[in-house]
Amino acid sequence: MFALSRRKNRRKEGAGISLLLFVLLFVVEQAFAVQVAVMPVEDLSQGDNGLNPSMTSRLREVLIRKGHAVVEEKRIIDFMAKNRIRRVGSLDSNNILRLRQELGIEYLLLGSVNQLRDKEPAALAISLQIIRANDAKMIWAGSVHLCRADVRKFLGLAEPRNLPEIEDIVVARAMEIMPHDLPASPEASKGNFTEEIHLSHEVVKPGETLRCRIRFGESNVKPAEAAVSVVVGGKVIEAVYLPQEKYFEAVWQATGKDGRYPVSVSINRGQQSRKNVFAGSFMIDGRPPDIVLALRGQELDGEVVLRRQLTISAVLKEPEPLASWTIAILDGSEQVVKTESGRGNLPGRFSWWGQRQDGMLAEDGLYSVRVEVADRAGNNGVASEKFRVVRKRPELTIVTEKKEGEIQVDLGYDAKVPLAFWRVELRSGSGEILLEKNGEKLPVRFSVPFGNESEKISCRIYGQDVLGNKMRQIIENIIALRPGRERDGDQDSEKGAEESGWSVDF
Amino acid sequence: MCRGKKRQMKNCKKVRCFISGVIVFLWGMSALAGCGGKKPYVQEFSQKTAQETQGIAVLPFADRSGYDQGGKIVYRLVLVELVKLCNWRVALEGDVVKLYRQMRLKPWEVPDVEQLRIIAVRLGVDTLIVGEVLEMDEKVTSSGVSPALSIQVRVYDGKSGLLQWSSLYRREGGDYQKMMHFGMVNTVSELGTKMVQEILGVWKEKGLLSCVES
Repeated sequence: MFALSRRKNRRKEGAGISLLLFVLLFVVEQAFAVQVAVMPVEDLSQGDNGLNPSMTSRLREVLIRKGHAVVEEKRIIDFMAKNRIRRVGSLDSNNILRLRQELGIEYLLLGSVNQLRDKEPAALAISLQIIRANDAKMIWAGSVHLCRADVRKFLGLAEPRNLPEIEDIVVARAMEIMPHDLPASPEASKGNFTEEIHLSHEVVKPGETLRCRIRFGESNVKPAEAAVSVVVGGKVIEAVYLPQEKYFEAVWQATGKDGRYPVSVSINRGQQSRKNVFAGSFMIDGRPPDIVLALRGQELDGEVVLRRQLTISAVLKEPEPLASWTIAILDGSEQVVKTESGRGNLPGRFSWWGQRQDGMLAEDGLYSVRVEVADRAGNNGVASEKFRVVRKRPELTIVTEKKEGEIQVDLGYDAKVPLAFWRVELRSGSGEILLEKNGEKLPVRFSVPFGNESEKISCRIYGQDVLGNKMRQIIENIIALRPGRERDGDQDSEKGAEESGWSVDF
Repeated sequence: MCRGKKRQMKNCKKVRCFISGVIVFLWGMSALAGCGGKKPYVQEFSQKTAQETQGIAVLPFADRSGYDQGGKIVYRLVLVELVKLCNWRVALEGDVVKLYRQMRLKPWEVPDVEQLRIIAVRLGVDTLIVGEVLEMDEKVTSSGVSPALSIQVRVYDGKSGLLQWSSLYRREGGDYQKMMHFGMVNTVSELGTKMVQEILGVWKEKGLLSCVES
């Protein structure tokens, strides 16, 4: 009896010891297991910055099965929120180091679903990167891709039927290719982390202030121990550390001739390292852009005239990139009729069809076009050219006089724009042409015989000025006109008996 | 004697037939397997520096194909294949993107010489890879999938910012077909992987990319 209870006790002791050993082994394994962070997997099939939570958790499982200690998903999300990391699929060195310091990770897995096709034949492609956290080095990368059409087996046995099954195979293959051993790397390396260098204003006017801000990526480096200076054209400018902003700032005035000046940053961390980084260059530009404005349209007495369209081309004498431009059409009283503006370089040419900002046609008169540009340094250049809008149709005057059985017609024109041609047709009531005349110069006098007052002679006048403005006038009966009275288009419209058809194009 | 000669002649004919049959078969197989396949076109622009490549940065690929995220797909495949190829330091995508943001560069634009030099210094690399996806297509037909990809990859020297060499390559899924459905490539990702491997292989073969072992 006594022996039996002793044996039972021994068994219990043995079970207890083995349980203790198992727990101990588990604790030790977990303690020495390499800490890995699985970052949210980007899904390129969902567009820019898409997320694939299912693949993220599956990759986490893969790493756990491989015996790694994987950081909780919530901690990763919290870290991303705290550090304002909004993009998935990639992470910069500084954030990797922060991740290492805050979560104690040694490696991180970045994954992306490059292709995901749900339709037949279903396909899935992923790429993975393992990055060592202490020096932000990509130590391993691999990709797995599988299409249902890739797997053809005898009688279709064990072929994947849908996307989840393909996902299983892809994850299994990823597990196969992923390295089994991720060695622990306790020593933080003096890696080549990128400094953030911001050089304000690429192009400045002489005397303007320039700033260069340098922020250290490594949070383990004390800025107080470092000396940072900016070298501009052989001149050394000491950068001052601003503890609140957590960056070094060097401020200097842009002096010297117009031209480009290289800027380099010298970082001296005493015993640790000394580094010279080419930060870029800035340009001093004190010269305003010189614009050459050319108007292309019809010309009249050495003046550019708009009848239908005016082409404006503005070019710089010395081409340079521009920050913005504005073009404006101003009337005789310097009021803006139409304006347009844009960023960047000037368009090749502008075309103005004579419409005001409200869409109505601009009236005839003297106008000017003004082009204003600003270069990247803020220097302004202005150019202006005058032109005239002439869209009025030529107005021909007709004076009739009845004399001894014939009617005498005087056709005149006294507008500024010369006529290109004119043509007159006189027809009897039956449509027979009594007289046809044409020419380029006016005034002109002609006469046609007529029998009595009841006879009907119609007159058709066509004309076009040198700008292309056309007119057509039809007088149903010139005998009925009062003698000696001048006739023009406006007068025609007063009389209902006569047809007055003005047309821009015919 | 005469009969013996006839037999010998017959045997000779049989052997000749057999050999020619084997040759025809091998030629057919090689044709089917695409042995006479294309190689990526490489154009060298400047003398390669004697130094071994220490660090490489792949800059964002411009996508001219219209395929959604086509540039990013090829970009990631290039990163993977570079890391697989050699133990050099490949700049992280996050660092490159951050630098592009700092320098106000658009991902689809090729940086100028000075910008390339700045990128190289700031990322601590000596070689820069810039690429363009010219065509990316995946036609799903009743008979299967037919992917097509055309890429141009240019390599710049980080110190001078000058173009060193450039490769242009276009392939289709069917180009890798060996026999029946074997070897057929059904996704642009797999096609991209194969093409990038081939491009890097040619560069290595020509001695343009030298591997540093550590």
